[in-house]
Amino acid sequence: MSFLREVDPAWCPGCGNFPLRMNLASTLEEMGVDKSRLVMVTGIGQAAKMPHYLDLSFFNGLHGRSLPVAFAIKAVNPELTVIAESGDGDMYGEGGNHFIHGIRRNFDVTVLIHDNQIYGLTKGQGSPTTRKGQKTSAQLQGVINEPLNPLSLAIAMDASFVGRTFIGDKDHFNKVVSAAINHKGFSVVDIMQPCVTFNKVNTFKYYKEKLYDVSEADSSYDPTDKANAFKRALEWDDKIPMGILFLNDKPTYHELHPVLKNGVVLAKEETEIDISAELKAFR
Amino acid sequence: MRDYVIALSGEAGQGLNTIGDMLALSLFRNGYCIFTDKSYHSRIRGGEYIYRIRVSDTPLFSMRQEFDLIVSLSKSTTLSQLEYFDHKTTLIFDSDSEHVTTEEAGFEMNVMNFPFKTIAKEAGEPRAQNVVALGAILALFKVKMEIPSQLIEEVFSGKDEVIKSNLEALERGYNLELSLEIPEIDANEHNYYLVNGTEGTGLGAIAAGCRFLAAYPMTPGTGVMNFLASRAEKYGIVVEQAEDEIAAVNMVIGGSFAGARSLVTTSGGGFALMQEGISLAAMTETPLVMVDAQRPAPATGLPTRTAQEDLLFVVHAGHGEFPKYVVAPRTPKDAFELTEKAFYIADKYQIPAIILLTESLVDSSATVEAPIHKEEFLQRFVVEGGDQYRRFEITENGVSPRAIPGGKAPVRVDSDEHDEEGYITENLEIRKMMVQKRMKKMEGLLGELTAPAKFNLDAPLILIGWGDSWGAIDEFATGRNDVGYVHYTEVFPIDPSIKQELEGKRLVSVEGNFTGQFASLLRSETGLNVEHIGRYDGRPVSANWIEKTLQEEGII
Repeated sequence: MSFLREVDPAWCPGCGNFPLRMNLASTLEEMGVDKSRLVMVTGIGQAAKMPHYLDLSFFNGLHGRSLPVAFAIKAVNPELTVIAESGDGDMYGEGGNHFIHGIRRNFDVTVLIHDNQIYGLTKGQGSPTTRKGQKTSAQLQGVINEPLNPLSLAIAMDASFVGRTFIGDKDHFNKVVSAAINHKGFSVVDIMQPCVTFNKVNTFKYYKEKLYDVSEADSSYDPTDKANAFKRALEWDDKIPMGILFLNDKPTYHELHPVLKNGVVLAKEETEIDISAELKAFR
Repeated sequence: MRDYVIALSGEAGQGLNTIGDMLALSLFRNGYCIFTDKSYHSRIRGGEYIYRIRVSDTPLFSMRQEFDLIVSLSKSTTLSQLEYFDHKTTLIFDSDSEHVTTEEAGFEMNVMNFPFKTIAKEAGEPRAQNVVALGAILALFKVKMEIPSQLIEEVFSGKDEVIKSNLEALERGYNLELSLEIPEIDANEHNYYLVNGTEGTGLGAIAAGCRFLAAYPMTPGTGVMNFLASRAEKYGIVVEQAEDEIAAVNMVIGGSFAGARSLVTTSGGGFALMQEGISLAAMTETPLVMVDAQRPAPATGLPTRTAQEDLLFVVHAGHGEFPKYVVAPRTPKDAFELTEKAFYIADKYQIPAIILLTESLVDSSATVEAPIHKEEFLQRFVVEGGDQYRRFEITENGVSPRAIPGGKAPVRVDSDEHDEEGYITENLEIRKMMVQKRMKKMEGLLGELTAPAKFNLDAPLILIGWGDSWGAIDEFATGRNDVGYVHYTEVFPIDPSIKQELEGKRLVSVEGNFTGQFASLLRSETGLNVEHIGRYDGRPVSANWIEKTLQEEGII
């Protein structure tokens, strides 16, 4: 079943979102994801337009707010597969607080972050992951703030699944994203991609040269080793790690929740509710 | 109508809330009508805490500020309450403690004191001084001792020694036989309920089938969250404490999108943070039910006091233009019924519905008739969807078929302007049609409104009110024949036909704010000329305050 919608996406020619879209659609198709049970939740930005170019149910909400919406959809209907998707500005900047608390909740969601280290839709301002010193349309003398490291942050918070992949490696993308979707719990996938219009530093070539897969580089790599995963996550300048960096098998929000663990369905339409017994306590 | 006002005063942390609840409930269960309010500082220990109970033979819905009896556990709170003493007020305090002298008070007080602490000590529980006072007051009202005894057993359930000493303290209190004259107030068997605004709203949400609540704690809106949390397992409700108000409102929109009746609760400051979410609900046509329990602002304002300052803010909440429904309950019974209706209207029209409470409503318990639960308000108006399903189909009444994800058809919604299928569009003709489609719902919404409460419209002076000021306005107006009133609980939209009934009358809006917000709203919606008087000192309006203020303004 194809997940592609026949449409002309409103992205710049050469945008990393194009291969990301193709990779994601083929991953969903190869996994045999039930389209009727899939919901994509996005924020705002070039990345967040993704569901308009796919064929699936979606909630394209506010800038930075995909995770609270995704959380509630999953809480209300645990049978749905929920993917939250947005860019680095949306997920790590505007939505940074929700990212942190989403990790704490560990609800079952796959979080895909198009990380091109720049703001695209607003024309080239620095994002939370833009490296120090990089000159942008708003930081004319160069960014002076430390970049946010989403992987070390997520690992430090004991996130359930922490991975990174690259739009230029279809097989790798498929491997990491399908593992994230299959994983029960909050699964973070930081996706490296170029912004051909506004980021002249982190180009396709830049990523291609620096990215390496942690498991391929070290066949004994143990993603459950937190200290080692954290150490890898800190790497950047010479080599950039990707793959499944950290796995932390722990109960999900649903499995721990006093109401949801009993399989209660919240989306039910009721025709009768008896409130009289409850009212009696106020006599 | 006969009434009597009792004030319990002391510091936060002295157990006044527990004892006040026990006193109110004992009087209520003995057949009296009760109205309570609380005046307290934003702190957990110390400061001042005043729990007032108005006892009457018919249900009343506002407090008389001047109390007949004050039991004070601290000298400083007695001093702060001196302005509410009148010549009949009796002060009771512990005779072993230092208290306010005639010189300090500046007038001769009627004082009656007892060694409460010593009596409690003799009963075996030094901390039960409140229970001694409780017994003494209940004896005055001839309340059967089994009523408070049962409450003590419930409150201290499982602690047999504590129950025993508290029951002993209660009995010793009963035996004090205060020589105080109280008016003859009838106490009859009745079918009333003693409910506060928090409970009314929470019960209404349960009755409406609310299954998901997200909130960030903020006084005085927190109570509704706590109420549902305390019943979450029983009714299968997910109550999530969000990381901030922005998360809370977006969660509730997500929960509603996925098909659960969902509620977000807050106070003014938190509501301010939710603006973009309200606009999102409007654009995605997702039902959104919100509670804003008002407190005095701007900014942090007075966290534990009351006001009606958020009206125009709430009516205009969210950027852009879209329909919404705003209610402001008069009583805890109203809070129940309007909460149910808010869920129904939000679902039927796929719009934001906002329940505007006040600190005084949520914190005050009142004697009410059984709230009316309407099963037709459980209707969700959710469709299955099929091959040709379009979430934002243009329809005659502006309401498109709403399916939920996980069903037969894909459901696509977008905060950008979108076409009928939910896909983002820059087609300006479609944009225009979508604006018209959304605004069309206002017509249906006007037909859902019930008329405001009306009293003595032949009078030359008509007071206008909204929300929980009704008790005070009704009490003031029914006491005289030259004043009538019109009182609203559904404050937006407003049916402009009221203009014919009120034209040519002197209209004065009584409000818990400085600027006369409802007067402005009524003026803009109907063209009527409306004056106003406003109370903005953090206290609720009362019948006496209305009378005094109308006199000062030369209106009566």
